[in-house]
Amino acid sequence: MLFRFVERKWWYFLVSGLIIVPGTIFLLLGGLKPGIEFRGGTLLDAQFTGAPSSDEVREVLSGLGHSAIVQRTEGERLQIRTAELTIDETSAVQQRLQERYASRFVGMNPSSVSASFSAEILRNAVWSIVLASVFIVLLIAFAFRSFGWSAFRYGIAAIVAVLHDALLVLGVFAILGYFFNVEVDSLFVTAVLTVIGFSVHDTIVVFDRIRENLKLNPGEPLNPVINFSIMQTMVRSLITSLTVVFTLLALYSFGGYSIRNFALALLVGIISGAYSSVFNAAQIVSLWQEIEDRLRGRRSRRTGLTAA
Amino acid sequence: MSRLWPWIVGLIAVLAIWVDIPKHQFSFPFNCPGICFRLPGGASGFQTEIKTHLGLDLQGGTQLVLQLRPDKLPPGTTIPIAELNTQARGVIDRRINALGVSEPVIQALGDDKILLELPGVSDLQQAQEIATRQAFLEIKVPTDGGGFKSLEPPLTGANLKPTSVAFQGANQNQPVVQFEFAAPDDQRWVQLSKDYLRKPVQITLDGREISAPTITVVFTSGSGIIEGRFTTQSAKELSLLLNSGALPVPLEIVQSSRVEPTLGRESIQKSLIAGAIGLALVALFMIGYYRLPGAIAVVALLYYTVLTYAIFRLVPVTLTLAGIAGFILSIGMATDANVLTFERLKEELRSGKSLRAALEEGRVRAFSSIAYSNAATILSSAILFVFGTGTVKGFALTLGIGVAVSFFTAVIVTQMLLRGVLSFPALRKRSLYGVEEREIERARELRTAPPVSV
Repeated sequence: MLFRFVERKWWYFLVSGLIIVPGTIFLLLGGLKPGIEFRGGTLLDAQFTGAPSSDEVREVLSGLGHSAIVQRTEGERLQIRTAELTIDETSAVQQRLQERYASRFVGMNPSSVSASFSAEILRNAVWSIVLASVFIVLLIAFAFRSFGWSAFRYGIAAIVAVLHDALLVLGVFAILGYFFNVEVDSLFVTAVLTVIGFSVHDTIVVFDRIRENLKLNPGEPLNPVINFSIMQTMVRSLITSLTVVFTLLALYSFGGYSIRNFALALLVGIISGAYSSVFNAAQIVSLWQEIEDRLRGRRSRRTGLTAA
Repeated sequence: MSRLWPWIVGLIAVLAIWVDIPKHQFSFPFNCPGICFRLPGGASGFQTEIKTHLGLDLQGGTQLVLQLRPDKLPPGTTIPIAELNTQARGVIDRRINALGVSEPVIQALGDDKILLELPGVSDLQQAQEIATRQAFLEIKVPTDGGGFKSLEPPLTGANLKPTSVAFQGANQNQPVVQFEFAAPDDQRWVQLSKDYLRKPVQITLDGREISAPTITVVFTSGSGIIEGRFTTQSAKELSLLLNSGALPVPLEIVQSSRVEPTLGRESIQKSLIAGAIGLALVALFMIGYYRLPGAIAVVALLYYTVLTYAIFRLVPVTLTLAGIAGFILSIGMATDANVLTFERLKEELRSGKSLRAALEEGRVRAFSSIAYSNAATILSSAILFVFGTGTVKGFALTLGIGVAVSFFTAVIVTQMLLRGVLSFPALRKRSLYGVEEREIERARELRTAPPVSV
């Protein structure tokens, strides 16, 4: 009844690669689109009843001397993106839309960020990522403090698993950004950091079991112990992730447009985190061991030869 | 101690529900809305109204981030920027107070920025006026070339007493603003009237002329009037601006956003629906999978929701869209602690232990994992809270509080309920806990064989 988690590791790595590789390509193609928070500019979120076409609204904007990107989001909502508008200019746009569409124009939520302030927000975001990464590495070091010499490989494997999840979320949003102009904001950064915390913890639970079982069964080869440990912890990993996925699905489907991308980033990340802790993390430890065994085997053969 | 827990848990539940009840029109047991503590006989005391604080994105309103621009001050100004920030916030606070905006937020963001939130104000231009009008009054004197120049040092509105609106003219229908300099500027004002008798002086606001009267008599006091072509409204506004004081430093808007109240209400509705559906999905799943303990977990989850919401209202935590998302997410995460406990419970049951022993063993063994996992999430929320701005802070705060509360409910409430359930003989069947008798048999057989084999 034992699953062969370790033996099929290349399949699992392949599945991860199938999403991460295209994601990374689009990431390199500049698919990740910064929102106005990170680059400055103005976003007008306008609500209509019987929304006019994007082109029509774009013309209204260009009539006021602003070049705009207009996108229909959900239902009767249009998002208008321009370079940074002053408050007076924003009010002029609102007035023009009101004149033009009268009662069909329900209202709009404008938000503007200046270039200087957006640079600061971006800097803060980068700092929080750096700090969170340091914190994660410390957390991993703390969790594996009693693993002795092998702590290093478990730590590296956990970090690789976390990078896997972060890269996957970034990649998915690069693809979405490339094709659907989905933008990333500081909530997206928050989502990625939350996912990282969640995923690290999932991985630590699996590794903790491996250590416990190695202690209980001294002399047992590594791979069967890993298989057994994953089996033991999988139910807990799956169910915990599932309950979170349920709440996120509810948020994604019913929470409204402004929270949808945030929920999506979390959803992708949590699923990826559950996958990587079951199908990738321990497999990396096993791979490390196999490579080490092979190298050691070669070396001992060589020493054997010189002795002869 | 353990005998006390049911009472404590029950008491907390009652208090939480009382706090959660929409508005306490009935002020029982306190003679005020919300919570108040009054010293007997004394009027002084602590009083606070309990309500859900909604962020601007949910209730509608305007938010501005203002950047201090000390580089635009005349050279030689040596007031430290932190002091300028405090002064500027004071000025803005007075202006907002005069307008009667309820519950504004005026907060320093570092030394060089100010966050301004005006609930209910949907006129961005009005907000801009409040926040960026310097209201820097200066009296300038004529030059030989027909222009005007500043005195040395400049005579400004810094030393004005509160101004008021009065009416002049033949029909007493021309509004003017009365002002009076306090010492020592009143002497300068009198001196000025002597030096420039029968000449025009210029009264400027933020560098623009608002009037240029000719001095006809030598003043005897520090008072005077400004007669522009005012309407009653604009005279009142000028008087208000002058009374609030001038901003000590030019402010520039670096971020602005406004949410219309109707669109905000829509967001509330949507997130309430999302939260309810999320909770229902988790509840269905937990009962379906864990049966009796699952049902208990759902009760604990409801307890958790009621308690967390009460804490949000009491602290108070301002709920934003991202904050609600954090709260909903924490519902999912709160079940993690229960899952850890129940999985351990099942394991112990399968190994043939009695329900009571398995429960105790499961509690002890799951505790470190639960504590560890919660500590990790709380710490990462703390990082997000410290480094994040607006929306991120809201998310981190609700997630952090949510997880901390879930620790309490999972460790204390779930355990208590499980023990309570065990006192009913009818509820002691192992099958109610998701473990079949034959599983226990098999586990017994397995234990004789090595646990791991390929």
